[in-house]
Amino acid sequence: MTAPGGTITPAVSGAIAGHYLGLVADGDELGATELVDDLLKDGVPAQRVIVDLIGATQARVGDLWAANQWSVAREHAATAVGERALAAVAARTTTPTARGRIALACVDGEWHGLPARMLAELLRLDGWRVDFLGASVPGRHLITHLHQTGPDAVALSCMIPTRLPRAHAAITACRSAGVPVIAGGRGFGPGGRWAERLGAHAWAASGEEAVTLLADRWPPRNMTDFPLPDGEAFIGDEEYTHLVRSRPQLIATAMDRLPVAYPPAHDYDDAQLEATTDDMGHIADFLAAALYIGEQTIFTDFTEWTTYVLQSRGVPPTALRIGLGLIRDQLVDFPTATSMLDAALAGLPAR
Amino acid sequence: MTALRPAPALLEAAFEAAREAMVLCTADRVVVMANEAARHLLPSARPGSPAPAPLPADGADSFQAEHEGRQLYGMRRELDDGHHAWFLRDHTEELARTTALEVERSRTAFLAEAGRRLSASLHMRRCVRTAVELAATHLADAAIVVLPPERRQSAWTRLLPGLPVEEGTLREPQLGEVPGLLEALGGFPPIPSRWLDPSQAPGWLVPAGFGPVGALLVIPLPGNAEPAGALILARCGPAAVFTSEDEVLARIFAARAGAAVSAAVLYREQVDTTAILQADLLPPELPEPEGFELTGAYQAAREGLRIGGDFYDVFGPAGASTDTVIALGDVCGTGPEAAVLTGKVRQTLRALRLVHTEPAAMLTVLNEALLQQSSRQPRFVTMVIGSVHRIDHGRVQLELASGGHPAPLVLRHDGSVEEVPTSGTLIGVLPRTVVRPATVELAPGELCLLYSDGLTEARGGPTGTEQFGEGRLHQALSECRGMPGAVAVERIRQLVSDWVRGGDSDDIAMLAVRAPTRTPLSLRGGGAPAQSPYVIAARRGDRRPRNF
Repeated sequence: MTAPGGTITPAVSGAIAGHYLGLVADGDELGATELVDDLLKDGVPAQRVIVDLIGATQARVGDLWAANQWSVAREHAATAVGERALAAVAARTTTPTARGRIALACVDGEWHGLPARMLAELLRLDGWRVDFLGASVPGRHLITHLHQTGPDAVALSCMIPTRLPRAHAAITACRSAGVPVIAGGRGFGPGGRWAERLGAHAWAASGEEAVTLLADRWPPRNMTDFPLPDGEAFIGDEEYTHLVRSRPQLIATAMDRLPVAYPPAHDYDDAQLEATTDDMGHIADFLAAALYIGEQTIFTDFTEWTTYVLQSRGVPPTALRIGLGLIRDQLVDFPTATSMLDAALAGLPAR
Repeated sequence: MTALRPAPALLEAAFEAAREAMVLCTADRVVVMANEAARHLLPSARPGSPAPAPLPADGADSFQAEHEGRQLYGMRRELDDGHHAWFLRDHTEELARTTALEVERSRTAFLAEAGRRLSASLHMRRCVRTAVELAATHLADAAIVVLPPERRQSAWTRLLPGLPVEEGTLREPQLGEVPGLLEALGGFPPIPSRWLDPSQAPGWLVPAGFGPVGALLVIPLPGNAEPAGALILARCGPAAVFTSEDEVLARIFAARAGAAVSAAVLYREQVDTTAILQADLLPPELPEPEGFELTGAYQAAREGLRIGGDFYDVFGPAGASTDTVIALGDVCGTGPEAAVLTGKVRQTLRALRLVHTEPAAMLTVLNEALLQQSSRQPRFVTMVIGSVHRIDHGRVQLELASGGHPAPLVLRHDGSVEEVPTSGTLIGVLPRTVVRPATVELAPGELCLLYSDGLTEARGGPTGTEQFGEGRLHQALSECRGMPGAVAVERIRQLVSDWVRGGDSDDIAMLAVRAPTRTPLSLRGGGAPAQSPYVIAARRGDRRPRNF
């Protein structure tokens, strides 16, 4: 991509990134796609546009939402602009297929499709034939696709740990179908440490890392552990099973007891009650994921992040403390769950 | 007690009769006595002669050696200061049994691995690759699978250990160059390796580095009443052979590989057929009409095929009409039967659209058409048909008619959500239909959503059994104020998916029409973005991105 005469490859400057964030903030599809077009015309490599402009901005958008500076509507509109900009990159670049075929999907229930879509483009630029199956792909559809197309790899994206049990089911099925799996996304934990536990052959921290790994170290050597090392096809235990099965009861009881434990809840309107019910559901779901993997961190990360998100919206940590307590009271017979809740409670900031 | 002390002759007779081979020697290794069993194993062990080989001379107290084709094992015991004895055992049969058992075990393990790996995939190419991987690892130095010719070309897959799998095609006449290959592909019984002359193998069969082929084996892969292909095994080196045991094992393996490949062939045929049938039943690619945004989303019920009873379709301007016609409906039931009726309804609409443009009239005629077709089971449809066109000032007008379908929703720019006041009877049940059409206008940024009841009836939530409901849909839509149509539809899909949390849900179809806003959308509080050299006349008139 170096211009004739040996000039330095143009890059995405901070000023351009700042301008692009402005376009994204306005939901200005046209402006964003024209900016991308111009960068490509100026010789900026498509990979840099994807990673340094579209990807970096998307991370900023998430931060702005978490800090309550942006509304949900604006975050979604911004993400849509990112997808259009990415499509513009795809439309303006062609790469001959020089490598194998890869299927790329977000885990069932995982709706953060943009990171996976960016990886799809990066892989395509690296010469892979890519089948991007989209956000929230049911496991069965993924496996059907594998039998129909016989790819050399499956790349599975998971951004939220609550989807890990379903990611595990998908990975196990891919292995059974004889296709190696590369996992990606922060849902697989810091450094992807839960990816291997769930049977993935590899994990990549970023799209670019995934591209390098698939180019240099594929197929993986441990393919012969077929379909799975003994005893790893089933994980999770009876505490996990109980928590998932009794989820509706758990939430209903917590909501019944809420006004006594937290008097302001007496005056909640329907929307507030619904939002609180959702929050109870999140507590149950993250706790279930932590139990499934056997990792306290999954739950503690969730409570820390929730504390931050609530604080930036003016909600005191007491509310979360009470929520955790209401769930804990119903799980006294479950030592692992109780100790996870206790550890999370101990980590909450004082009111 | 002297009577119980045996006479030397008696002891000697007992020694002679013992089944264990025994040789009595002096300290300086001269044989004193050897019983019959010992003489059988070591004929030269005669009294007075030196202890014969393989009895060790170095004072070792045990040995294991092959002697005249037998596996002998001996242990030495000191008897008194001047004598020792060798006790000998013949392990020949035992060793042979152990070796046979190990061979059998490794065959069983190989066949178990083969069965497991071959059954993993229903994909043809993967099955063939797995077959050559297994064969090259366990059966030969090179393994090649050749598939039956299709259009005078045969696909082949080859693997040599340490090299990547290679794939290619052969012209049909070349098949005859490999001894036994035409017979194998022609469904004849396998020809024993000793009848195949490896020197006749063509040069292209194995790479040059492989060296001359020493032994060749060509076996049919049994398939669906005709061979699924042929497996060619080659061993290198002048002394290479395939024993009859090797051939038996290779045939058993070929039977399994053939079964896997032919299952993959059947699956592929079925997939191809289904894909052709599905092509007309899946939601259409939406056009990008001038003046308004169209977004569709379709999610099939979890179980079964990705086609079902919900559908939407869009028909661009045709004939004298400049309107775009949109339709979204729900055929009773799910699965292939519902999908077939869906296809009929969509075809009928496509034709109807050429003569009628009024949605209410289209519904009435569709009703008559459905009533006339005989069907074993009564089938009905609920649907909304709309006729869309642009009016002045970026506004969009929709004329909508409902046949027993949930009323479309309109999202106004202030975030309020209205139901379109159209109603009517089910389509395909009663001879007379009553349809009350309605007209709505969308200002820039406003959106009209057509949806199927799979959306509002999706069960989930905190209890796992509650319906998503119209209230939540209104609320969700209200929160989509200012979003482009595609974003709004995606957000509602996501909310419903979170609501059902992986549980079963019915088909869901959505179709949104939105009057676009002029860019930029003022979602942001701050002023206009800083001008940059990259924004070149960004806002020229009505230009919209259309390539994607």
